[in-house]
Amino acid sequence: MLIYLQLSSPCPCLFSPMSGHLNLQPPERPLRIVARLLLPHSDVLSSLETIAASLLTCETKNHPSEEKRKRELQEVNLTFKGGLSKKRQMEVTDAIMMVRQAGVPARLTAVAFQYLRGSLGDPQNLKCVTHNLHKMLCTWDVSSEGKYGQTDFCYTTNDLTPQVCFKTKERRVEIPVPESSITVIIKSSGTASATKEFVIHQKDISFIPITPHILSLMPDFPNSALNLKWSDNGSVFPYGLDALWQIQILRKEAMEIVTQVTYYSKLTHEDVILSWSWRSDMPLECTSHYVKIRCYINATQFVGPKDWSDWSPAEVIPGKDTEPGGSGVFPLDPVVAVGSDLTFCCVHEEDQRITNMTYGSKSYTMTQLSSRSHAIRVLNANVSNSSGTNVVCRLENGLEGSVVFVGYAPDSPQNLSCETSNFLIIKCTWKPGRPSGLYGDRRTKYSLFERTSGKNVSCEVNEANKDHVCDFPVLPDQKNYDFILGVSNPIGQAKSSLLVNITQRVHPKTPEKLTVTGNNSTSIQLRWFINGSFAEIRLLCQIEVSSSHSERKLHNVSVPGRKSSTYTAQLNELHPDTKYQLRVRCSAADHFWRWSDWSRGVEQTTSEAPPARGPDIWRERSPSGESLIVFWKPLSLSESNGKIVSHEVSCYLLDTLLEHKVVFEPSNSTEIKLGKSDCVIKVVARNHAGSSPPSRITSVGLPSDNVTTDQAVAMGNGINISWDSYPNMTCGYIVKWCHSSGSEPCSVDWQKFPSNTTNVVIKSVRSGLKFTVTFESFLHIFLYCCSMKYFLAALFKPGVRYNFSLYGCKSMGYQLLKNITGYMKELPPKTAPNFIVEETSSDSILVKWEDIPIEECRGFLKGYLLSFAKGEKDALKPRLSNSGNPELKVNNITDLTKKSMKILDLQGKTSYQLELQAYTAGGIKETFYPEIPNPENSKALQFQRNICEGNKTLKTLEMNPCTPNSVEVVEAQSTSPKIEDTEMMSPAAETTVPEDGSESEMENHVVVSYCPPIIEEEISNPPTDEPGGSSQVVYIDIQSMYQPQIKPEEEPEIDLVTTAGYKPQMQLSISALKIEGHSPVEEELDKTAGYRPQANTNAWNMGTPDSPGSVESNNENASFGSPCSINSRQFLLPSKDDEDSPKPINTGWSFTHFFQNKPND
Amino acid sequence: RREFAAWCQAPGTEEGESQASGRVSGAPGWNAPAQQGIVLAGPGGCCGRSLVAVTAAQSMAAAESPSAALRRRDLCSRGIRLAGKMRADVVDLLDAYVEQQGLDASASVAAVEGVPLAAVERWDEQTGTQRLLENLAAYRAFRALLAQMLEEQREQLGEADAGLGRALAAVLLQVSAFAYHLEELLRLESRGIPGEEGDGPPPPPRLSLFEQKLRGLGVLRELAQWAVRSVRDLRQLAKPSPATGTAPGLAESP
Repeated sequence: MLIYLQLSSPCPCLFSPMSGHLNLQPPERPLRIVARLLLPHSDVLSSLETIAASLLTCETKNHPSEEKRKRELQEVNLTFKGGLSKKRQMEVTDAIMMVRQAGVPARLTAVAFQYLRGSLGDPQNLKCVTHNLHKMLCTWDVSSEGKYGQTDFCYTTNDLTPQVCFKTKERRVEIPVPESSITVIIKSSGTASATKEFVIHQKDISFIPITPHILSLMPDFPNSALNLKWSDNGSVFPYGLDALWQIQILRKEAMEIVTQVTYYSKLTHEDVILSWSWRSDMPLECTSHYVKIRCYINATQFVGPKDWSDWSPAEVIPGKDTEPGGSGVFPLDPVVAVGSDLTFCCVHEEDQRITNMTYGSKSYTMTQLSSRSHAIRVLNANVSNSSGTNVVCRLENGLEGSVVFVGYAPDSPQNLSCETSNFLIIKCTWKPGRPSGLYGDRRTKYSLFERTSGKNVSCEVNEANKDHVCDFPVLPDQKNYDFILGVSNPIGQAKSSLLVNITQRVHPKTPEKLTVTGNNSTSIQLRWFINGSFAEIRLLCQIEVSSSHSERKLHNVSVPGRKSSTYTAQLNELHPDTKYQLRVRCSAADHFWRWSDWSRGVEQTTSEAPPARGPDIWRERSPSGESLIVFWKPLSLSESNGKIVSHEVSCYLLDTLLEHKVVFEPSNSTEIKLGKSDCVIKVVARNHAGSSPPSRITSVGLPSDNVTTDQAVAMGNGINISWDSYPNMTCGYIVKWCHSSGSEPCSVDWQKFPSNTTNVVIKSVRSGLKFTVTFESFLHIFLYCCSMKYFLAALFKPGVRYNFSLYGCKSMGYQLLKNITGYMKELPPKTAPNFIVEETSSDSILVKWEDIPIEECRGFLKGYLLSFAKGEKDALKPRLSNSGNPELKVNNITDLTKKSMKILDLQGKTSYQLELQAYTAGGIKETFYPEIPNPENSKALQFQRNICEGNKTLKTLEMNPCTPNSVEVVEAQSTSPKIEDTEMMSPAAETTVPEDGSESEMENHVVVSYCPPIIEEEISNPPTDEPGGSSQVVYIDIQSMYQPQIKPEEEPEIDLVTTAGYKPQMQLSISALKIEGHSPVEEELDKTAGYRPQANTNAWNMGTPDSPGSVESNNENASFGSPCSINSRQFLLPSKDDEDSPKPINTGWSFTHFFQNKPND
Repeated sequence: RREFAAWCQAPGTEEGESQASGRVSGAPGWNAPAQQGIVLAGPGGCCGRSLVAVTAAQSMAAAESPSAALRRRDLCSRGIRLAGKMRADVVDLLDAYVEQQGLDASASVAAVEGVPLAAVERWDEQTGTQRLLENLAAYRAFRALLAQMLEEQREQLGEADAGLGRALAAVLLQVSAFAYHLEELLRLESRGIPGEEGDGPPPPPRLSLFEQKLRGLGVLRELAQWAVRSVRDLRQLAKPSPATGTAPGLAESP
C-alpha cells in the first residue's frame, strides 16, 4: 500500500473524494474539518502518524529561515506503507493540527493524499473529473509492473451505442460525460496483464470549472483603484448557468488578504469579458497589490459533486516600494471630500530612515508596509486651507511631501434665475450654496447647457460674489430656453435646471439720457433712451413726477419696443409754475418681470399761467369815512399759478371806472380816496402770465342799528362766535377782526361764512400755515429748544382782548350786525387799580380808584377785592384772604361801575394796611414763577407771519440758530409797567424771592432760546435813555415816612453768596451796583445769580434808588410781591385832635425800580 | 583692464586681438575662444540675441570722468536702497509664504536650480564687473522664478489669498527693477549687457505641489540672501578705488 503525501502549490481546492485531493482552506479554516473528510479513506493508509511526524521533523530540521522553510515545504514528498487505525486517525488529525499551530506557513495550503490499493497490476482507483460538463478526464492507478505498458481502454455508455476502444500509454483518458453512467474496461498489458471494469455514474464525476484567466489588471493610481477583466468561458457551457466568481485582493509582499468578494454572472453560451473594479483604502503606490480569481458554476442538472475551480495565478500591481529609486508621499496631491478617512504612505530608499510623518501640523503613528514604505491613517479629514494641507515625510536626510486638498462637493445651485436686459444676452444668476473650499484649478466650475439648441457655455464666475452670474447668448428665433446649470469640482457635481420664456423675463436696463424736450404751463414732454433690442415686445414705462408741494405721482406709459431707441412721453395736467422732479423706469408691458432701475432724475419748472381766481377781498371805510381801504388775502400756491407781482384794484361806479391802482407786492391793502360815495371794487391778482378773474366787493356799508357787543371766550383752540339767524342776509356773513402785535398797526383779518351759518369758531391756529425749514438744524433745535406747541402759530394770544365784528352780506352791501370782544384765555389783571385815599376822618376813609387800562385787564374784569387790616406793614401778610389776622376785612366789589368806597368804623390813631385787588375769570395772579415766554417772540423761531391780510402766500418759519445755554433778554421800550404803589405784595409772596416782573413784562421780553441757564444780558434799553418808558409808582404815606434811609453805597453789602441757587427773580443789589458804575464784582454777581431768565436790572429804571420801599422793607425779607395786581397802602389814621396831621398828598416817591433789596444788612 | 575688452570683441576694433573668454553665440563673426577674464554664466553668454557691443571700453573706463564717477556712486547708493527695501519685503513675504503654504519655517530646502549661490568663496577677491554680472544673472533667474511662482500661485489659488499674490508681484517688480539697475551700472562701466536667453531654459519637469512649495521657499530664501549680498556688492563698488580714483572696485583681481 502506498501513501502519497503532497504539499502542493498554494492553490487551495476543496476536498474532492473522487480525486483524493485535499485542499486546505486558508489558515483560518479549521483543519479538523478537512481531516474528517479525509478519514473515509484512512483504512487503506499505513501510518499518517509518520506523515505528521515527518512534517514536524521537516519543520524543526529545515527552517533556517522562514523563506527557505516555505520553499522546502512545498517540495516535500513522503511515502509510507501501512494502514491506520481509528485511533491513529484521530491522532493524525491532532498531529496535523499541531503542525499548523506550530506555524506551518500560509503557503502550505494543500495536503493531498492518494492511495493505491488492490492486487498487483490491476488498474484501480478510477476517478473522473469534468471541467466543462461535456468531457471528463479519467485517471486510474496501476501497480508498478503495469506502469509502463500499454493499456486498452474501452467505454460504453449504454447497450445501444457501440463500445469505443483505444489504446493509451498514459493512465488518463478524456471521454464524454455520460448522461447517467458509463462502463469502462481497462486492460493493462504487460507481464501480468489485468482487466478491470468500472461503472461510473454521473454522481461519481466531479465538476470543477476551468481555472479562470485574468485578462487584464489595470491600476488607477489617482483613484487608488484596480480594474480587473476576465473571460467567463461561457461558450463551453450551456446557456443560462449561474456563475460565481470569487476575487481575492492581497497586499504587501506577504500577500495578506485584504478582501475577498464574490461576483455573480450568468453564462450566455458565449465568451463574455467580465470586469470588476475595486477602490483601495491604501494608495496603490504604497505597496504591491495582488488579485486572483476562481469560479464556481452552479450546474443544477449535473448530479455529481461540484467544486470551485482552482485560483488563477495572482496578478500584481507593484508598489513604488518595489521600484528602484521610487520615493515620495502618496497619494500625490489628491482632492478629497471633507470627512474622508485617508491613508498616506511614504516610500523611501531602503537605507533611509523615517523620522516622522505629519498631516498638517500633527504627527501620526506610522505602520510599516514594507522595508521601504510606511503609512499613516488620517480619519475624518477637515477642510483644508486654500493652499492645501501638507503631508510631510521627514527622512533622516530629506523631505518628501504631498499636498492634499480637502473640500466639499458643490451644492446644487439655488434660485437659478435667467433674464435678459436687451434680448442679446441672457443673464442667469444663482446662489452657489456652501463654498467648496477648493480654489484655483480645483475650484467649482459651472457650465450652462441649453437643451433645445444643444448649446453649452462655460461660465466664468467670481467666487467672491454671493450671486453667481453666467451669460448665454439669445439665439435667433428661440423664445423658450431649457437651461441646465452644471456644477462640478474634483469631489463631485450637481445641477439645476430652469425652463424660461425669455420674453417673459425682461429686465430692461436703466433708462438713460432722460431729457425734457418741451413744456408749457401744464405739460412736459420727456425723452429717454434704453439700450436693448425690444422689437418683439411692448415696454411699460413709469414716470415718477414729484414736486415740493404735491405728492409723488406715477404715470404709466406703454410704448412699442424698438431696437436701442429713444422713447417719448408727454405729461399733462401739471400745475403751472411748479418745479417738477421727473424720472423714469421701464419693464416689459405684457409679461411684467422686473422694473429697471430709475433713471437719473431731471427737473423742469412749468411756465406760469394766470392766477386761477381772484383774491379774497374786504374793505373798510377809513375812520374819517373819506377813503376806503381795500384788503386782500394772498392766493394759495395752487391758485396763484406763478409769482404774484401785483394786484390791480379798480373802483367802478356802474360802468364808470372811478379809480384804478396797481399795488405791487408785498402790499396787501390799498386806500382809495372815495369821498363819501360808493363804488364796486374789483381786484385782480397778476403774475407774469396774466391776471386772475376779478374779485368784486361793494363799498356800500348798510346802516345798522342796535349793534350789541358780546363777550366771548375761547373754547378749545378758537374763539366761538354765534349769532341769531338773519334771514335777509342773502350772501353770507363775514367775521372781521384785527390783529395787533405790539406797535404795529392793527392788521385786518376776516373770514366769510355761508348764509346758513350761525355759529363759528375763529381758530387761533392758522390752519393753512406752512413752515419751510431752512436750516438743517431744525430738528435739533426742535427737540432741544422748543416744544411742538410753539410751532402752531397762535393768532390769538392769551390775555389779549380781540374785537370781532360780524357783518351780514346783502346784495346791496354789508351790514354790521354785532361786535364781539373775546379772549383766547383770560388772565389775571396785569396791574392793580390805582387807588388813593381821600377824606380821612378819625374813623373813616374814602378810597377811590381808577379803571385799569383794557390792555392790562387781560380778561373781562369781574370785580375788586378791597382788604384792610390794622397794623404795620406785616398786617397784610402773609395774605389778606386767609390771614389769621382777625382784624382783616375784605370787601368784594363786583359793581364795576363803582369807583370809590368809603370805609367806616375805623379806630383813630391807628395804622391800617389797605389793599385793592382786581380780578378776572383768570383770577388773581398767584405765582411768582416766570412764565414761559411766548415762542413767537423767540428769535429762534421767527415766523414770517401772515398778519391779517398778509401778502405773503408762503409763511416761512425762519430758524435762527438756537443759542443754547444762553438767554437773551431784550426789553421793549414802549410798554413798561405802570404801577403806582410803594410796596407790592403778591398773594403768593411766601416764597420771599424777588419777583422780576416776568409776568408783567412778558410782552417785552424776547427770549432767544429756552436753553439752559447761563445768562447774557443784552441791554437794549438803557434806563437813562428812556424818560417816559417807566411807570411811575406813587407812594403815598399818610405819615410821610418817606425819608430815604438806605444809601446806595450801603447796598453792596449784601451777602452775595446767599444769592446762589434757584432765583427766578433778580437781585436788587445788581442793579444797585450798576448804578454806581461797572464794578468788577458785577460779573461775579451775574454768575452767582443763578437762574435769571428775566430782566436785567439795568433795564429797570432806577432813577430813584432811595425809594421808600427800602425803608419799608427794612424788617422784611427781601420780597417783592407781584407788581401787578395788588396795590397796598399803609397809612396812619390821624387822631381827631391832631391838628397838624399832614394832609394826604398824592405825590410822593417815584421810583422806577420796584425790586427792592433786603436792606437790613 | 583687459577685463573690459574681454567682452564680445567686435572684429576690427583695436582690441580685436584680445580674446573674449565668454561664450559667444548668436553673433556670427564674433569669435571668442575662452582664454581669460569673465566667464558668463548660463547659456547664451554675453552675446545673445540682444547683445550690446562695447567699443573702446578700456579707454573709457580708464578715463572715467568725474561725472561718471558721481553717477556710479549715485546708482550704487540707489541700488543699495533698492536692495535694502527688497530684502525687507522679501523677509516679510517669506513669513507670509511659510504661513500661507503651511510650511515649516525651519525646513531645509535644496538649492534652487538656475540661481547662482549668494554665498561665494573669495567674495572679496571678485572684481566689480564680476559682482555686477553675478548679480545680474541671479536677479534675472529670480525674475523668471518669481514669475513662475506667481503663475503657479494663480493656478493653485485662483482668487483666494490675493494678498500673497500681490506681495509676490511686488517683489517681482522690485527684482526686475533691480536687474535693470544692475544693467545701468554695467552700462556705466562701459560693459556690454549679457543678452537674455532667447527661449529660456526648457521648462522644468512638472513638480508636485509640495515640491513647488519647497522651491518657492528656496527661491525666496535665496533672494533674501542675495539682497544682502547685493548691498555688500554695491557698497564695495561704491568705494573709491585708490588705484584709479574713479573706477573703484573694477580692477581685475589676480
